[in-house]
Amino acid sequence: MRSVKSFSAFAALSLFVITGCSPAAKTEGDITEAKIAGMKVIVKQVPTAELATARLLLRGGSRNWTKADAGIEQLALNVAAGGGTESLDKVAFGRKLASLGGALHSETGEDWSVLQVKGPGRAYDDLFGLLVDVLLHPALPASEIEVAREQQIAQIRHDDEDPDGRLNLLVNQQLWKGHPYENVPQGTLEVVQKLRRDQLVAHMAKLRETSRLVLIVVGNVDPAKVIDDAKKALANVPEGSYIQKELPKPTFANATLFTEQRKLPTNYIQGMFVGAPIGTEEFAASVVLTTMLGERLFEEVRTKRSLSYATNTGCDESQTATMCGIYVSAVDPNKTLPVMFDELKKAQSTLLSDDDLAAAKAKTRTEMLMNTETTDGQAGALGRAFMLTGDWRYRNKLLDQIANVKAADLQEYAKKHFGKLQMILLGDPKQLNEKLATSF
Amino acid sequence: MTKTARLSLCSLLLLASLARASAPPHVTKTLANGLQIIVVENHAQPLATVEIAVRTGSMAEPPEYNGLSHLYEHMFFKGNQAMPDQSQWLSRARSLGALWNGTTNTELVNYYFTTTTDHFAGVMEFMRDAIVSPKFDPMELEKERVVVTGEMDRAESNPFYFLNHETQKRLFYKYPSRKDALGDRQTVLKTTVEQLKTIQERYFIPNNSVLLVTGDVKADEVFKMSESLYASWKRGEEPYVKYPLVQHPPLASSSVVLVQQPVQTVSGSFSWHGPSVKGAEIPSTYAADLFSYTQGEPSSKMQQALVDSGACVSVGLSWFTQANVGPISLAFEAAPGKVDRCVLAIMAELPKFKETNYVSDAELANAAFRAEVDTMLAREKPSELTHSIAFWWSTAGLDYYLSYVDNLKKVTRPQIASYFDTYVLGKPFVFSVMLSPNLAKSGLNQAHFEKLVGAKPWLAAGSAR
Repeated sequence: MRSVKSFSAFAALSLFVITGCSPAAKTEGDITEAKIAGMKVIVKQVPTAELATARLLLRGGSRNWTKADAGIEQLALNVAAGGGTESLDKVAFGRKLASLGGALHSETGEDWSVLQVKGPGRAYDDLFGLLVDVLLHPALPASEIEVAREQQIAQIRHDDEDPDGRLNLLVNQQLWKGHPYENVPQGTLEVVQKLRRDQLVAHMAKLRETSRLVLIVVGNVDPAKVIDDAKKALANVPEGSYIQKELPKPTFANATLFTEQRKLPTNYIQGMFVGAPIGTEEFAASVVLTTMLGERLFEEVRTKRSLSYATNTGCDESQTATMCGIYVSAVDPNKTLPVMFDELKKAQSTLLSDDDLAAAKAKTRTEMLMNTETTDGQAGALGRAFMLTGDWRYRNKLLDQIANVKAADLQEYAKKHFGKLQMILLGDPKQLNEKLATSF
Repeated sequence: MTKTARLSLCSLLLLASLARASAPPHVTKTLANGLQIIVVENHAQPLATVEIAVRTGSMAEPPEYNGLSHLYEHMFFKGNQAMPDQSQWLSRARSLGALWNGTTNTELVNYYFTTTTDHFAGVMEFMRDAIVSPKFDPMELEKERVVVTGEMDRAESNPFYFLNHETQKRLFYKYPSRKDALGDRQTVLKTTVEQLKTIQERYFIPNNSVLLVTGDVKADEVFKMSESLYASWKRGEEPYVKYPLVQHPPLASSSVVLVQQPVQTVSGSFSWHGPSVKGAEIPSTYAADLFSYTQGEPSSKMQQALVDSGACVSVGLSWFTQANVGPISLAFEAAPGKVDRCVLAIMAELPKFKETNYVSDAELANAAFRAEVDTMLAREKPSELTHSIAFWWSTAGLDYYLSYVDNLKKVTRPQIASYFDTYVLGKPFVFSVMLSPNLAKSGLNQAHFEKLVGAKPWLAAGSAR
């Protein structure tokens, strides 16, 4: 099989027509948007969907914690989602959720966190009620805090044991040294072990401001009712005055190499650089080129030379920067990296052929469509577009931009952004020549 | 991806969960050569997924072939008679705008392409050429063997690989190769073209395969195209009549597998030989899945007793759907200081599973409903639905798949009790545990666990073909 290392990607939707709906809400095609006391609501009506997703974004992410309490938001949201509410204890809450066929979970990230419920569309009203109950009235029982704490600690340990998990942590540390993003959502053993219930209660209270919230609902739902229900459910939540602060952008003066010794059958290597900011026209070029580069590495490194089972390329977008990279697991990095660097150089020096450009665009489009097959995939993509560019429509704009990308745009992007690679190796540092590793 | 050759304990659990999906609206047709075609239309996105699944995998591998289904899977994506040159093949794959992959499991090998509908016809032809006329170029085989060992290197970089591998080896002690989809490194490195051709002739035949198509397609057109594309693919002898599956002998006694790895947590499982999806064992398969569903809920008695109590960090009960002995597993994770407490709590809880009041009527109904919702989740993503149907088709058959949710709804408490009496309670098990060498030195050693779980030292038995 092919190895899959996931980087985030944007997905596509069909084009919309502006129709208008009511003074409070605006409808464009199958999407209705409204603002309720500072909270943005985006509803996508999908008449054929059996399932519905309500995805509540909580702004802040790493801005909401520091090194001293990193891990607090993940723990608080996990306990809120799994520990019952003031009116339904853990068991009663779990049984009600099961009887509705729903699944409720939380996510935590660099710029925002998520509470999401998904289940049969016919149960949407009740499922949304449970989601709101989790946000507004979580029980946060001490017993559940201990359960969730143990599980978060286990996750931290597993991330450390798994080579890809450890490599991700090392990459994060190197790229975001001294930056709020350095404080990963799961936190550290030392911090998570000491977090107290009163801290979690206060943290959840801090998140309850409509100016922090974005609600995205996708399914066979009535948008007007969804918006009305959200308005009623959150009527008593203060608007607050939360403004997402801009964080410093990363810059790298030189190529660097960071290594960590671990006895492994192969070396895990990632090289990162600052990509194009999302929302810009060159971002579309970067998406296409990243796809093409992935194909080239697969052919040159794996198929032609058998130097690796797993090569990849990708970008992670945040509100601060787009970080892009190349990845490989290889027993002989000194043979493998020059091949990878050559492909980066070719992208800078050679115009892509029409056929290769068309192929890269086609694959990118397939991937984007695959990411929005499900209601939660669509809700996630709409939310990402809104949070990262301020406009959920960006997902469609990106598709248009991709269709119009030219070979020269790709080359320009490569020239501008490929370089000063921040290389990280987990494995045997003796197997990688530092001069070579920092040569691009 | 869950269905991979790198089956960790976690991925086994995921597979078990994936396997619980069920029947979307679909149409089927069987060609004269025996190739079955299943089409599920879904016009929500302009995408189409084309998958070929073959009923083979490590179950068909004696030691000298162990890992070759997996290597064959890699060679599928190499040149073929229609497109012999590897660079040309890759270039064509790119031009189709497709995302493609393949997986090898114990009882299934599958290959799939997802693309936009404008490339659907091209992908159908591309798939046909790959499955019907692989080239097995010796130079490409030479290179791909190394790539496969690179995949093995990655598997062996993760501690859970060893926990799962050693557990399966003990559980299926007489024929371990038949449960080891990743295979043996040395065997892979010695593979010959002739061996791949043998595999092709025996198993990669239309009457042992299914073509699955989902997405924005029309069933009639798919059938028409398939009739034309696959008419020349020659039927072979029924593979499992000529080469019957081995009979895995039951465990003679309970034993302990201690795996020492540089880990910071303690993970493990109790494993038993569970039912196979055949004959009189089939009712137990439904009881196994329904009960596992009930105990997957965080509000279940098992979760309350084992996790909420603070004994274990997490637990999961599963039965893995297999035609030839699906393992039952109660997997756990424990904090290093609470290992014995977790293990003893599990042992105390096990006998309660068959008690009449262990699950309520509402929990049983909710569990069946979960299974039904899983069918909706599977339908929602056509590009993955093919994998799910392929798994069911290969291990259990399409009829089992189509009636799965209805049969879960019919499970009775006596059937659940019978399932535990037949396969779990008082039956020999493999207790596996993975911990750090330091923890083992501190007293959590083989003898300690043998005493704790009441197992005997394992007397090595020779493995067979």
